[in-house]
Amino acid sequence: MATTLIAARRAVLTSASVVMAGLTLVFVGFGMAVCAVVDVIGGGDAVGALLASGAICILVGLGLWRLSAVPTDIQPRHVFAAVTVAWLAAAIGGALPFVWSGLVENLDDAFFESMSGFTCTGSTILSTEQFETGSPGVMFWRQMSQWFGGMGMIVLAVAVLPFLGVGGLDLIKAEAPGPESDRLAPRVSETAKHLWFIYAGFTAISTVVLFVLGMSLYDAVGHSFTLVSTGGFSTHAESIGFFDSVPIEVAIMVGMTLGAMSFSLHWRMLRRGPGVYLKSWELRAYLWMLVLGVVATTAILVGEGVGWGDAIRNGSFDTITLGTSTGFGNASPDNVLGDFVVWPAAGQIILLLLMASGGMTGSTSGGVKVLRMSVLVKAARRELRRVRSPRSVSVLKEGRRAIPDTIVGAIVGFGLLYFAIGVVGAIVVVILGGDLVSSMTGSVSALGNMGPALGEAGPTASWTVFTRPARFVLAGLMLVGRLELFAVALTAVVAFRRVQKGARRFTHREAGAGTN
Amino acid sequence: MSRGVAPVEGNSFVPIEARAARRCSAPGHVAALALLAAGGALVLSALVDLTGGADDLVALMVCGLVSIALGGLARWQWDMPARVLAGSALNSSLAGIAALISVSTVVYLVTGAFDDPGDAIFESTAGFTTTALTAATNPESLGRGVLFWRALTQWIGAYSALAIIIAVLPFLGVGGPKATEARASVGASHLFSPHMRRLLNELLGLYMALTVVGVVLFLVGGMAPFDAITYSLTTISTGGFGNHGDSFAHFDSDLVEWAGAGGMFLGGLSLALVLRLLRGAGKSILRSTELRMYLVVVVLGSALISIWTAPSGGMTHESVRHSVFSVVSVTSTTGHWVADWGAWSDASQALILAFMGVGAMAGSMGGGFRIARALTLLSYLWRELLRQLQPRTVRVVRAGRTIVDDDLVDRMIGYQVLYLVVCAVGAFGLALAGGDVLTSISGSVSAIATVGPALGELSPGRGAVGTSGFGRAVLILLMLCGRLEIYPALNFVGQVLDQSTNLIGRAFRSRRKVVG
Repeated sequence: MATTLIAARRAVLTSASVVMAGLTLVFVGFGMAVCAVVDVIGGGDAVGALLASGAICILVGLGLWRLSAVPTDIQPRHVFAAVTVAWLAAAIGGALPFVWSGLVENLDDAFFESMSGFTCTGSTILSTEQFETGSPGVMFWRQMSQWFGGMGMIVLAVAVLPFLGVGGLDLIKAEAPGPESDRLAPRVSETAKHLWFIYAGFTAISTVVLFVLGMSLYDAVGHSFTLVSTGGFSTHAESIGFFDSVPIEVAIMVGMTLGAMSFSLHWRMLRRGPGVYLKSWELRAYLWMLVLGVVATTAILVGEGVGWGDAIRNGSFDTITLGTSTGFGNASPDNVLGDFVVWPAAGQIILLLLMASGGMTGSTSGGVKVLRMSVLVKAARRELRRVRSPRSVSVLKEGRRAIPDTIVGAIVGFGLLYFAIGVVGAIVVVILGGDLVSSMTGSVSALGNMGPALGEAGPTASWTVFTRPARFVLAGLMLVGRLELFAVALTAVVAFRRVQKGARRFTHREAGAGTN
Repeated sequence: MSRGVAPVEGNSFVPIEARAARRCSAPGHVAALALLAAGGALVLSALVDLTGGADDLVALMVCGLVSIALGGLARWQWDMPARVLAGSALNSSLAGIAALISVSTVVYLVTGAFDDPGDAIFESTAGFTTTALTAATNPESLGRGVLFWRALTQWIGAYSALAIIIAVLPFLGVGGPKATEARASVGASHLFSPHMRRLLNELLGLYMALTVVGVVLFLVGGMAPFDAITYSLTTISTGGFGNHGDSFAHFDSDLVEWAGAGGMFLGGLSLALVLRLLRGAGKSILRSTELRMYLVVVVLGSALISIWTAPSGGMTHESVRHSVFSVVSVTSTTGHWVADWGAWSDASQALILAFMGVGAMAGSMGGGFRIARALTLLSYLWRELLRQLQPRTVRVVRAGRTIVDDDLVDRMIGYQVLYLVVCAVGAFGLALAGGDVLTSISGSVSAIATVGPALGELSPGRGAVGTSGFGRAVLILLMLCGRLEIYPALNFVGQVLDQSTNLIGRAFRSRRKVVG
């Protein structure tokens, strides 16, 4: 009924993409308004810039939303395009305050920072001075953009406005990380609301904890935004290293570990008690991965002659920050080892593998995801087994459930596509002018929404080590990674095919030539 | 026939009953053949040693005769069974290469070419896996006979690897010519059926002919006859050993370098295509997508690198020549070098690394991932992408023009994941042995593709094969995995692991049952 109401509205355009882009911009605009308030309280000078960009986002957003309507027959390609366009719109709108407040000079730098924010990557092009001179409101907006991006603006839109007329679950699926989205409630909008409820509650709790541990309220809220979303932006150039406090680092580690866990799982835990954690095999695999990573990196550091205390502190912090695709850094003048580019290469390669892996399905983290990783490993093992007994029929299992072969194929396809995009991205970045190790790992890091990379783009470095065109490519990789490849790739494929079709129609005028 | 053995025309195997006195063992039989071949090659090397100094004449001759005697004994002891199971076929290839490596290790130690057994094993493995990693710091000091044997190891190694692909892989249902037909008889066919023997003999003839072509090329280029022969042996086989510490740079001659590039190009060419060309189907081979890709990679890669490495005054003959030579060298997975590509721009190095990873054409003497597999992978990824748009669409995966059976596709992507896993583990191992990040990753890619020189500390001409025993062990395993198409090596490890973990696993499982 609601669908017909919306469809009946007079619309200039019929496009799901425009509707979603408009809605997203409205959210972004309201976020900026909140940041303007923060700026007033913090005594910053960017109130005008924030209000102006907020107003523009809201006006443009409302305009786009009201002027267009969702088509009545939604195809998968519309959904993919809608999500991609909405995220691009958010990144462009979110870049405005950075430019107008004078924090960065170029629009492309602002776009990079904004994209890194919304995709929860956490790579920054800001220098230490820019961190210090940045107005509190703008820096707060930087943190908030990650918070929006973490759970996803589309999920937010579906939660707030259930009667969009777009297949809500399809949209969430296209946006949410992981191969499957659980329905937490019979209605999609209820599911979305549950997810945002957990997310907001988690943010509130972590704010309290960080505040109690000694952060200022501003820092506590700011870091909670990027902690829960496993984003990794910080209000300080030294990231968590600024506080140089082990209790804060421990709290952050716990927060990151929880943030990269499935939010559906958290919701079920609230309903049915902690027993659901024990039943999740993906959670077990995820925790094993972190534990093994911590043990291995600590051992490698100890092997290099680092003291046990420092080795455990940095081994665990950096393993978790990269294993959850967060990207906080804990390097400080007193704790040089937090900068993992000085680690032995073996430790760095473990971190690189963790970067590619990411957290659990349905979490806010990036990367390939533990579920897919473990299916990949199982597929490889099955391949070995099959070699010995070529006629054997074996089924891969997740926990006790068998995974259908088509899904295994799709997951392996995803893993290989991820690898292929990472390789191509690395080659493009290096051609555009980057050092080899930084570019290779930068591509992995951007695609996995990680933040820091190896080489010159380490946790204490600014991503200005890449050239401007290269940063543009990296920003693209972030979006590709955050939307889990398919949305962006397919939007590109559909657009390309449309052009191709047009060209074919243009060249072959014969009847029927262009209809297939 | 009544025993269920596939009927073959010109049936050459003797019924089992008639040979009841002797034992049947495929690995034993293959090892015997390997010993005989190595013995023959050693006698030949001894004769070559006569032409210069004859220092190692006796040692080589004795080793050769002993090898022949042992081979004859083993041949008499073990017959090829009429039915070969997949696991046994895998072990056969492993037994063959193990026999070859042991003989060669003994030869190096007896002739005094290497004093350290580790060096000898490394050199032998690099030889038979056609990898251009050498433990010899100064090959010029070796006698002619040993140098000739060293080149022969690569020549034999390349042919054995091809035989494995053609004779063994179809057993596993994972590749080789007519894989789908062979799959029908998996587990119950003759390892060297008359058909396969004929094919293998044809290829051997062609291989010899190509080697002669290489010799002529090098003679025309101005090499001395002995150099021309040995370099042809290591070039057509895509091996990459040289009689000189500085590889092709030693000759400092345009013609020789062009001849070398031509020879390596031939080595990376599919022998099946060459056969078709010789049979007068010249036009049809140009339709091969894989050949086109090979040409595109070589031409485009050389062009790009020529531009990037051009000295400030513009491209010179030398810079173009060096680019072409290097690109052909890594694409064909040979590993000869004329310039230290580790000193080139980052973009050039990235391309070199990418070409190493992809490797040569399927069915050639080269190694690596193979262009045909990469094409199949791309086709598969394309299908998976479009499946997201139209979930019910039915599309086929193609390798070039040929449609690939869905089961085979399934196996292929499993292999691809395996390849990546082995690469990652190898990189981690090299990093543990003390390499930096770039050296470890590129070293792993290069060793598994049987190229040899990589980037970073393993760049050509830097002479650092890694002094640590652990690093060399990792390289040896990677080279074996790469040359044997991973399966035999990992299958063996799997068998050992299975047997040792079975007990532990059983105990573990029973305990879990009690708990659950």
